[in-house]
Amino acid sequence: MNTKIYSNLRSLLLLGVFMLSTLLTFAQDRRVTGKVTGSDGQGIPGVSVLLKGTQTGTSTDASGTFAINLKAGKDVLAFSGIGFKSSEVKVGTQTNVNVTLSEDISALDEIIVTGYSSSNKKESTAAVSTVRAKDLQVIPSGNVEQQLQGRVSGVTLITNGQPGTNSIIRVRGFGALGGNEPLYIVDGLPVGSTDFLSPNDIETTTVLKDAAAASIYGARAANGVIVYTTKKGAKKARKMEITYDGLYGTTDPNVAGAPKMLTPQEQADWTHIAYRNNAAANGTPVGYTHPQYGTNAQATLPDYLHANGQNGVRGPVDLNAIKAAAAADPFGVFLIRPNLAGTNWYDEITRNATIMRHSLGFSGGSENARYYFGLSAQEQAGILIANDFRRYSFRANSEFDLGKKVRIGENIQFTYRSVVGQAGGNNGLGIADSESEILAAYRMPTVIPVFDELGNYASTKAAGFNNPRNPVRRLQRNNGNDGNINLGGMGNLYIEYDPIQNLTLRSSIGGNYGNYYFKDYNYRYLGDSEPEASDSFGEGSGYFFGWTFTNTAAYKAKFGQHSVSVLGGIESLNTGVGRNIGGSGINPFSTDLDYVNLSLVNNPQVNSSLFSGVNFYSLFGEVKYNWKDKYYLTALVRRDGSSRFGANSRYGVFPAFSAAWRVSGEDFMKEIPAISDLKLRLGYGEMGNSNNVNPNNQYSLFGSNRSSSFYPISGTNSGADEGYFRTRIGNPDARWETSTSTNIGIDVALLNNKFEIAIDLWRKDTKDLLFTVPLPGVVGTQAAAPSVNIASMRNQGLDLQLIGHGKIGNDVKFDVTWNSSFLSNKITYLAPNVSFFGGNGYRGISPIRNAVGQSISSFFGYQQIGYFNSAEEVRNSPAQAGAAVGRFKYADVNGDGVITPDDRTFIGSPVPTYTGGITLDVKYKSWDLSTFLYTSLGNKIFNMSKWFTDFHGTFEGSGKGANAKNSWTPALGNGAKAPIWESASNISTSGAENSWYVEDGSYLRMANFTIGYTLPSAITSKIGIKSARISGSANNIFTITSYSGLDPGVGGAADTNFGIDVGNYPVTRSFNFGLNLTF
Amino acid sequence: MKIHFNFRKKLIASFAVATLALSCKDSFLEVLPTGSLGEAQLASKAGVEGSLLGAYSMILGKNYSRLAGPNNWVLGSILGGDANKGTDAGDYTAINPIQRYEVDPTNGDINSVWNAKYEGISRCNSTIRLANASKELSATDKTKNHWRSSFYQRRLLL
Repeated sequence: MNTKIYSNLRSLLLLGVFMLSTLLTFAQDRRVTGKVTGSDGQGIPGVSVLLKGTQTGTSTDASGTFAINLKAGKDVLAFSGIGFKSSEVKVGTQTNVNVTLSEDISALDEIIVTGYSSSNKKESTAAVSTVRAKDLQVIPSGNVEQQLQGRVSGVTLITNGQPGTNSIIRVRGFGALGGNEPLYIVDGLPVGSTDFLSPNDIETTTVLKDAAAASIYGARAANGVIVYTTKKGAKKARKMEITYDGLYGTTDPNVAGAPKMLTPQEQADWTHIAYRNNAAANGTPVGYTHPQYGTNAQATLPDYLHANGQNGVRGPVDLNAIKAAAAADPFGVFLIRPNLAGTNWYDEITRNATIMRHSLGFSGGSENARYYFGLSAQEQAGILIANDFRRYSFRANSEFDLGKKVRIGENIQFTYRSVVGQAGGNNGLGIADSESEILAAYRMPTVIPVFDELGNYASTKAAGFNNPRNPVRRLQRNNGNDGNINLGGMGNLYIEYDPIQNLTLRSSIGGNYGNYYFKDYNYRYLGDSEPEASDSFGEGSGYFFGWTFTNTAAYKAKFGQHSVSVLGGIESLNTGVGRNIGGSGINPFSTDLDYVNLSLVNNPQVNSSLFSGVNFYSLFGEVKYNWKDKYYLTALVRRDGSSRFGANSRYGVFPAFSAAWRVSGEDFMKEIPAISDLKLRLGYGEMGNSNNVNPNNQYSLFGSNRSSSFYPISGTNSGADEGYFRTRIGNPDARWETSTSTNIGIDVALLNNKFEIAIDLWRKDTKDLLFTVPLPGVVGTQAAAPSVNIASMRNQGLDLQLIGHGKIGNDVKFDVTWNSSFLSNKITYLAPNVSFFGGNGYRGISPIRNAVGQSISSFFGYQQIGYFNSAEEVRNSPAQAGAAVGRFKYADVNGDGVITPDDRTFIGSPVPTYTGGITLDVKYKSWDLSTFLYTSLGNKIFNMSKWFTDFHGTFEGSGKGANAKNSWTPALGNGAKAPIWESASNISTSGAENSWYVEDGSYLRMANFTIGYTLPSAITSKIGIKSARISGSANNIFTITSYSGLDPGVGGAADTNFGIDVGNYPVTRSFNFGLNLTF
Repeated sequence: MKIHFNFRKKLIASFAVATLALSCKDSFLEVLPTGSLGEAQLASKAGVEGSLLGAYSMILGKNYSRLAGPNNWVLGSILGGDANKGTDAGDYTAINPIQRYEVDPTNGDINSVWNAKYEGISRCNSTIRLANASKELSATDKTKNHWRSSFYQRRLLL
């Protein structure tokens, strides 16, 4: 009974409380309106407005106004918008709240994402740089990494003009003798390349430069780590935001900038001059023996270069007879008239290339979910014929709260990527030193037309022009039907769980799958002096799959004035297993594209390979501590085990320590108001690198190879018997290369953050460098010699970033960022009794020597001190093989009175000592303007292309450069640009590497100039557009350089062999029109 | 206290799961090479025979300089005055000083010719080692001697 009354009473009481609270709520739930404006008084659309302590929120409309209902006891509104500082306003009794948001321009609040955790620049104790997402978008390129050039201090970046090419990207120098590419992390997953990323999907880019930042990646950190995160949406109740970013433009091949060639008549005249010079040098009578230029002293051009087997035809030909012959033998009969005006072969192989990129982004969220979808298409033509890049990508990122403590999410991207007509090894990186079709354009004489009179491609079947091949044919025919497809999916799935406050456990499983297919058609052509006699066809495909499994625990807490954050993790991964298969054959019955396949070709050959990747198993941890936001300490360590090394030395431990002191936090600094922020940083640690060693290095292996170990012991004419040979000598003791990095940094902000300065002085010593010590030839050279941990290298430098923000009057605002990197690179040790190793040979020229005490890939050769200007000078100079009047005169470096190979010396280094970039952004009302200048100073280029064009005797008869007119004559003397025009080839002419090829590669390039206009929101909002901006930009507007080649950006496929320009693909001017819409 | 206990339990549980899933066996870090043979795989008669064929194949000097081939066109025919290089002085310039008896030690072609010969000798020696180690072959010394003489002959040929 008692219980019942009690229960009734309770019900009544509850009802009463409920009613009361409802009344109270009604009383307090009121509507507040307002407007959010920027410092310029314009309304800001899309600002999120949240009633603090609740999940009630809204966002401002196109004119910046908002309306929100307040709830009982809650009257603080929180405003946040991208690019603006967040702000909170207590409403009190107001019904109309107007808020002015200041722009968030301080770099101190920049998010730094290390992949496993994130912090902001204010708290960072390490050397870390970030790149604004917008800077990655302005210049369209096939690989977003190219846009880091000049945007990050401490990063050296050399690239070329091929769409979708790889580039040399080196964070803080060249740490090892190879495998110096940084580690790329995309949304926490390590990837081999970032060429799949659409720049519009990228939210943050962080470059971890020193051990204090990068060592969390331990064994793979030595080359720096570049961490990308993609857009994610935000957990706020708001409408979906749709963005469209489009770009359309064209790239100009810069025909005017191509090296000048001799005109047809000039080439004929200079051929006869060479005959006279030869006769004088040899003491023989002059013979005018060229099959085209006549037998008189004055060279003339014939009426036909080639007419069905006859060369240098003067007078009419029997056209009908030739046509009849051509009908009988369509591949073998040519009728070539000289192109008296001269063919500009560079112009013929290039084109105005269009580019377009369209990106759609859908982002949004609710209180407990967020998402981003990105669709992007980019089609970019190369300036070379039949060189095309295409990429279509779809990205979906999302995260959902499951209750209050658990979140699940995923990031995934699917990509279609196709690059046709790319040349150069290592995905285009090796184009600079390859004998590309661009070099072929210089090697082809101008007198030969692109097509002959019968409509065939014309070429060197016309006698007397040596062996170049018509590059227009090669590109149109041999690349025109080629294709390739790369399909890939990469992403991860993760779960986060907060078992207690401040502790987050995270588990992520990620994968990266890729699949490729290619087809390659090449066609018979008999019009070259060295004909390509067969039609050929090849196709192939392959796949790879890599995975990463990461588990981390992160704890963050504040005890009074002490802040601590702790991170621990376990990671295992495989870099990718896969297979490749490819086949080729020649001469199918018909070359009809609908007919040809590998079953229908002659001599079919098939090859395949498989690979297992490298497994890593790693443990890592990080502790960060700070007291009063004044003193910061960070310690981190990673222990890596890798299958790349044998059981003897499989594990490596990489610790790093860093500290920072916010001096401006001290009381004595409060009296210096000009200094808004001052922080000193010190970091020391070890990082590992294992890229530069084959995973099989630990094993001694045998194998077979059709080309080098098969022998027809039974005497058959077709095929051979399988043989085996030792393919590798193993070193089970090889271990990590270790880089010890020291970094001293200062971050200063002056005058209320108007100026910001970040200086980092650093040194990186790499020891235990993996070096394949050359074995004596008597051991046999086909077995790969083992890499041993023996060499060492030192990189040191200074990174400098200066940022300024300012205003001119009330309307003009500007931001300037100047990034500078000074770099010194030196090999300090190789191996006992090994002081150097060489590089590649180019037509008998070996320009590279990697030597102790020099930078990587240094140029080595004779020092040319002029020309022999008289017979007397030849007699009075140190004896030199092949010395004669007008030839190169070399310095007797060792002073022994005779020029020998011992007189070769170091004649330059391709490593730039300074690289830098200046970005200027100006805003005036609705107009914005930005420009970007890039410079690279102190690097030298070995201009090997001059070997082909600047000597008469190199492939005599082929196309020659205008430098012939500046070749040595008694009058020009040492002012000549090339030695005497003659046929001889020896070390005094074209037969040796020397300083004549070496040119200064320094340059300054205006890489971008953009003008944009944002339409008034009053107009655009009427058609449902939140903001609309149109822009026009010009890229690579001018380049100031003394380099005589097409482009001073000369890379190479290997770090021990770059800076050699044989046929580089230039970066040229382009113009784009852009449209950015937000709905 | 209870919260603390819970936290510990959860933490331990989470790490236990992670550790179990990842428990690093050494075998995870053993990734065997692909597309190649171990020495043991060549211990059979066929393996040693194949290794001998590999040694013979070096008579062809493949994968070395064009001067290393069996016809010896430069060091034999050109130096002997039977042949000329052809084309012009600017093509394959490394041959010019050889033809003039002026070759200097930086000429990579000479090195390559010797490298090809020593590779052949190295393959012979490697075959002898394989034969000595082979249990299958040691059954009859006669066979072994036959192999041996064959290798030594091959070494002389180079």
